[in-house]
Amino acid sequence: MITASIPTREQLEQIVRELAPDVVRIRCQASLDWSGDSALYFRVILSDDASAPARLWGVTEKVRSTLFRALDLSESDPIPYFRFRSDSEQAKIREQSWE
Amino acid sequence: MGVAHDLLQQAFHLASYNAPSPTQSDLRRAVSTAYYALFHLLVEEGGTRWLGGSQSAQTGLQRAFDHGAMKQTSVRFAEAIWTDWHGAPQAVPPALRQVAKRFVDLQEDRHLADYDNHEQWTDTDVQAVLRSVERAFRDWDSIRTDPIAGNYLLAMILGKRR
Repeated sequence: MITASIPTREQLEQIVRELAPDVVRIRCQASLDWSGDSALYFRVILSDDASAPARLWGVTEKVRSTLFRALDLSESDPIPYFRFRSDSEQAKIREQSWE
Repeated sequence: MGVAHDLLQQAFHLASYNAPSPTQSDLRRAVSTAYYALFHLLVEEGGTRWLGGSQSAQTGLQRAFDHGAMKQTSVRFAEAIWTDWHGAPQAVPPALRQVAKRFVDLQEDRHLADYDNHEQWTDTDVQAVLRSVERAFRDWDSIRTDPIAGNYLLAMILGKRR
């Protein structure tokens, strides 16, 4: 059973504003992970500048810690998972779950 | 250099093999290999700590590590407090929490990369994964002699039998 509550669009947009211009968009979906644990999947679109090799690690760590703090996430129930993609990569792929 | 470090190096190689236009198979194999790098880092450490007197005993012990039990243990050690074998709360050092978090993340990434063909991987996504594994290796190196790191490995082996 999926018990996770998904952050509202307004909550995510507030966090995007806080992390701008490095973060362009954040989407979140509740589901079960591979072993059946409740999970929240965060899909984060980064600016191309923030996706550069020299900046990527620092930016992704900041995004994770900001989401944990702003949404009061725990390490379990639901387990938060994070994926990152650059703005230009998404512009080519246009995957709906990241739009 | 052990298998774990070789696998980490191979993961980077796979991700850059067809740069700047990596194929989905390059990226998926890089993610999967990165997970197994961290998996083997922990399994090798467990085998080295409790050698059991022979090489075959070490192999036997390494086979006791189960992916599911390792995940559930890592979820517990990602929290700030771990309840020890006597039921007492123990603070989990930040470096160990980071290793545990990365293990949980990577295991999910590896399942998506290996089994979900609808998921598209990009260079940015995979580079973020690879850097997180690199960091997990460094964090493990900084914490591996701490007694609680031994408890982490032991809890992985024991799984739900604790």
